[in-house]
Amino acid sequence: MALLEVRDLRTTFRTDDGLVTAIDGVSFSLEKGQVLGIVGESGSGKSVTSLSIMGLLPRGSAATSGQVLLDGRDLLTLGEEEMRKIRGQEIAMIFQDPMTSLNPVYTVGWQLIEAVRLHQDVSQTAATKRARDMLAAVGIPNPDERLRQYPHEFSGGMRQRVMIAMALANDPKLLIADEPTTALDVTTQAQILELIRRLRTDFDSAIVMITHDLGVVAEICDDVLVMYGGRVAEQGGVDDIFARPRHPYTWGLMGSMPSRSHGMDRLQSIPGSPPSLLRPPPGCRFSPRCPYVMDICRGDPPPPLRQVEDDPHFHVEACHLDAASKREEAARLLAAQEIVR
Amino acid sequence: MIRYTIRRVLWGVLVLLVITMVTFLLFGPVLQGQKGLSAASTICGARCTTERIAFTEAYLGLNRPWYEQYGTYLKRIVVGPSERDRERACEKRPDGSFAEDCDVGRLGTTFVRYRSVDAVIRGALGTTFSLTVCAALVWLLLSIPIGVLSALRRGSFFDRSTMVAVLWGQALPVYYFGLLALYFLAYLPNSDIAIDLVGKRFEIFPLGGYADFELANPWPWAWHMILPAGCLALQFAALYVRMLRSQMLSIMGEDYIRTARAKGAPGRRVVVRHGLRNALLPLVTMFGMDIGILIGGAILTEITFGLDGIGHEAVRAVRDLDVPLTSGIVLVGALAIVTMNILVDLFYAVLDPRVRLS
Ligand SMILES: Nc1ncnc2c1ncn2[C@@H]1O[C@H](COP(=O)(O)OP(=O)(O)OP(=O)(O)O)[C@@H](O)[C@H]1O
Ligand SMILES: [Mg+2]
Repeated sequence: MALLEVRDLRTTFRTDDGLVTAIDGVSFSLEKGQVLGIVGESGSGKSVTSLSIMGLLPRGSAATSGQVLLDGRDLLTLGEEEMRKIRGQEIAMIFQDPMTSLNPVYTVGWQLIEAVRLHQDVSQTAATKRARDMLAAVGIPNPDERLRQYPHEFSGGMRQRVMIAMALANDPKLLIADEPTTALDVTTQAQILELIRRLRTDFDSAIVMITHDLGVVAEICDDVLVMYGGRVAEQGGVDDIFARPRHPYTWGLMGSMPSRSHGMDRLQSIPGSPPSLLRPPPGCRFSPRCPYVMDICRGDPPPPLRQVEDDPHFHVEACHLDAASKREEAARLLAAQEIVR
Repeated sequence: MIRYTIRRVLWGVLVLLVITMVTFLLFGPVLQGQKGLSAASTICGARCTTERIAFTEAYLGLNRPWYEQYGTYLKRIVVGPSERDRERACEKRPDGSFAEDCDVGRLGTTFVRYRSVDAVIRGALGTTFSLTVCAALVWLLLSIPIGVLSALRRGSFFDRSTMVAVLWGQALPVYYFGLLALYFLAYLPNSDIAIDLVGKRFEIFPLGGYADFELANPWPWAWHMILPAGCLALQFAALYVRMLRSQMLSIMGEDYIRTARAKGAPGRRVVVRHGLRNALLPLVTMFGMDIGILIGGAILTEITFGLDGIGHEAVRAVRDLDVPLTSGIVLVGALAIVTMNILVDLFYAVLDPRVRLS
């Protein structure tokens, strides 16, 4: 049985302007020790997916349906108190902005000890020791001294390390990292990614890595889920998707990946902007921006998720374009990228 | 932290020095320079005879240069009345001692009432202090839970009723509630109308006045305090509810609140330890200032409820052109505000680690 199995997850927000279906039919499964990457532009529903799994969306205005099975137990059916015990203990989360994610009025030690004692019935001394060990484990020098300091005395990268230490304090089975490196400078980004990669082996927990950077996905993920406008565009193993991308949106993302040798000047972003989820375009949500758009793309029903025929592994995508054209286009794109490299 | 404390205290002393200088100059040499007004007649008050003015002038040494006068004035405030002050104000006994009821103080003497300003202020301060402390307790106890609940249940019936109440509380002056309360809770139950209606009088609350606090029996004091402190508190509670509500609304949207929830903190802990703890920070500053200002006199409340507090004395002093008393009250008010300011800064530094470094 998979550690985490998400089936047909759908989250709808009630807003002043009407209903917003922020994610619409997301399914994936994750084994112990595996890393799943979720990629997509801003507003594609990555954070809502993770918050839905954690049960952290406002109960009044958000409605989640589908199933979130953690070790076979459906989290969406649990009460608040049961869910509270799971948060931080079985599923932990780190967020995008380390500068604002720690409480400014408490010491880092206080916040780490709180995380430990919320879930483990241990003495203050034992919790302090655990907090200290966790700081050391994420590579913070002088952990004893650092425990007594406040968040504002830490740099962004160090704060993200604290967040990671806090998330791992109770040995969670699953770690959800929501764009953990986006707010950091490039060098720090690399260090944090390295740390997460190491944790994967040291702590043996499954990781959901949310990012809008395919480079990050290529570096640390096993599987990848490409999201667009709240729906899955393409999903499969990292190697398969990089070798045989089959969705025009994935091509767009790959085209906008800065290649290592040429830096940012080769960056080519997808023209247009993400769709309004309040009044999404009918049919395929990517159709208004898609260079390969056909009449069928603009009408209901939206393209279904289909297995990629020439791929032996699980690899699905949702696009009406015929398989031959896709193969051709993908090959052209990959060849172009090869030249750039 | 120690250096920070010393800096704040030194700064406070400097501010107070400037204030003594300004009050001295305003009430002394500046007034003296006005046509037809001598300092002595101003200080002596509106109903002074010529002889009394002459006596005052000699007594205060008003013929000396202003900086010398300021020096004497400041010295009296800081180290207390000198032998000469005593000799002038009190009768000397044959054995060289002064009568026990000899009334001299640091802040001078009010010639309108022939008492030391210190004694007048001391008498009034207890009343104002009681009023302030009671009101502050009430408004904090009211506004913190209401403000927090209002924010957490934004848009609910509770929240909307609270906001209407807040609007009323802020729009209506304290004497409006004061007079209503006095009429319905003090006057009416104890009047002939009550006899007509229920055949009996009730003395629910007094119509005004103050009873000193006594540890053995604090009830008379409390009984006199409930209405004035309650009315004063309502007005502040309205302001604090509004402030706390908007603070809580913004704090509860902070990332670290999400972090607290993500690590599995129970709802109440998230709200109180993580949310409220941060939301209260700006209110600490406001609270300190409000206390300082109220100790300088809650004029409207004191007058409505006939309390002889600092505010009431200030109004009287100004009406009687009682310069020593007026400047004494100004100084005490300034001292209260400056002291509260320092306390707030120090307390704030304890509460918010971010200011400690800067
Ligand atoms: N509390 C909410 N109420 C209403 N709509 C919301 C709420 N939270 C998110 N949404 C909507 O859900 C959509 C997806 O948002 P989400 O935060 O998941 O995007 P994302 O993929 O994480 O983007 P980013 O890269 O910017 O973090 C957005 O269009 C947003 O407007
Ligand atoms: Mg996001």
